[in-house]
Amino acid sequence: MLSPSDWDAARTTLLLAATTVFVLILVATPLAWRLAFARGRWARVAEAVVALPLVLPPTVMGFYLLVLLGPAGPIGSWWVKLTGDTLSFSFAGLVIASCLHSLPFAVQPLQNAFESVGRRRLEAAASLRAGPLDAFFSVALPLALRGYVTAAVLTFAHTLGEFGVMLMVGGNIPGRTRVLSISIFEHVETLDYAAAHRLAAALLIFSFVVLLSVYLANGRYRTRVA
Amino acid sequence: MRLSLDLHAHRGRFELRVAEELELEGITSLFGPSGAGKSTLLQALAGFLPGTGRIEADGVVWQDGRRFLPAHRRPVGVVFQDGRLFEHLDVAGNLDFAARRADPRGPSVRRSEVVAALGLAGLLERRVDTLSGGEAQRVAIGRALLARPRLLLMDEPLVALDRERKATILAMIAELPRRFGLPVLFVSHLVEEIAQIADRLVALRDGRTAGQGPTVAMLERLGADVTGHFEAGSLLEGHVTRHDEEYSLTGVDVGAGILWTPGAMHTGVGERVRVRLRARDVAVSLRRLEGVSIRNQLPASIAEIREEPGAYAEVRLDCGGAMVRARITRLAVRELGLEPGLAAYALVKTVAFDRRLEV
Repeated sequence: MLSPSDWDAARTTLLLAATTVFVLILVATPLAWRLAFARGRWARVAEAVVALPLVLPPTVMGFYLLVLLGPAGPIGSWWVKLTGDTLSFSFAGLVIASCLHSLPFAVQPLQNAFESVGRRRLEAAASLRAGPLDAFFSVALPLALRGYVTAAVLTFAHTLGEFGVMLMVGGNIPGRTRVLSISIFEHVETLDYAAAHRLAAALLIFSFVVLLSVYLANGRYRTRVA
Repeated sequence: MRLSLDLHAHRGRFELRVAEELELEGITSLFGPSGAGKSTLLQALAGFLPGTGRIEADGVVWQDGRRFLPAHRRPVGVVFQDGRLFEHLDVAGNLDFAARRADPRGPSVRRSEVVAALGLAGLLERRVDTLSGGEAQRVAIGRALLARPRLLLMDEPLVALDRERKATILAMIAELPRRFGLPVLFVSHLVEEIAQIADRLVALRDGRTAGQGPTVAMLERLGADVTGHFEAGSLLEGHVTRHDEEYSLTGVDVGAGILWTPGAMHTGVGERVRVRLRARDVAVSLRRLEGVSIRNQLPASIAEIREEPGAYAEVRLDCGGAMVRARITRLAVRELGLEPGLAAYALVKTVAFDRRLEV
């Protein structure tokens, strides 16, 4: 049904989404933790910066990222020296761009979850001789589990659907940086509506099934708690 | 445990300034009205408030200008007002959480002993959000003990409970120091609570200490500004002389005479008990009364009369060495011609007694 190049795009997309979820959960955890328990003005500034990708046009983000990650850019040139490869128009560059672009989708659910765990429970853990890391893994993490599921699903789904940033940073290299959303765009450009339909429908159904299973799992969790 | 404190903390406009040496043994109550700084002091001891001054315990510095021993390294257990059990674990899981992290140098606390002392056997499988307030606090106390602390801090642990449960848990708390070999620092703003269980009392007012000493002597000394206006009263020590099963009364010999208190107590004959009398429940008579329903009439001599602004006066009666406070009107003082040195009787309705407890 799908052409080999569409399968390539699907593979790239899933790999990108999975990698983004993995990296972002690791990066967003300490960030969300600090934001949840920090007080004062700088924490609010940091919150605003984290939320920027929500409102910025993807092309604006993509453009700045291209400048930063390109071979002449500060990060890109360092990467070239390190690996001999360029960061822009590569899979690694896509991962970086997609992580930044989905940052608020991971940080905000985690921050909410940590805030509802609360300082008081952590004090209780400390009074029972649990050090900060111990308290995180034995108290905060299990209580914030739903926040983690939400963060992972939102990040995954958001990465599947992203177009603008991907195109700016990754270009459209088959097998390397061509993702599903770009494939669909290309099918439409070449007036191959049938192929565009197949991909679009597959993406639609897949996204729906992912979200539905999360909501079902959450609902079951809720009724069990009640 | 000997604590040497030099604390200075700000909470908005509130200022805590405490420089005190505390010898903690048995149950020490940190006592004062709401907003006196009791909880702040407790949090500083627990290690939740960095930068608040100096704390030294048995020669070990917990914190000063340069060092700060974090909460999880202090040999201190905390029972919070709101329990703070972990909802992702059941009751047994909460106890295990503490037991796994227990301080090997702390007093030996056996799990079976904790379960027995606090009546937790039937609760172990329960989810913590199905526990009643009293059950949750018992679990919280057990959890704190199982970490084997060398000092147990309790921050008004009974504040959310009804009267009946309060009495049960107070009796359990009173047992802890002897049973598990650790001192307890118990925060409360209720005279009734501390009168029953505290051996010593540290009074706190407006962020400053207002003295410390044995509970009976301190309650005698403290004014209404610390104890709260209607809580002024006196604490008598005595021993149980007999139980009257038919009328469900218990006689307590307090030296000057026998006080009849309601309820057949569990306390055996001969055991020592404390009885607290609120000043407003005590009346003064110049002679023994006949044909009156009041059962308790203690012979006394008037030691002191303190007239307050307004309608009332406080009469201190010496009942064979025990001091009893009576709160009566100034008019009564005048019309009866009460004055220091006069012989009189302290009258107490039997129904006026708070629950008593063994000491």
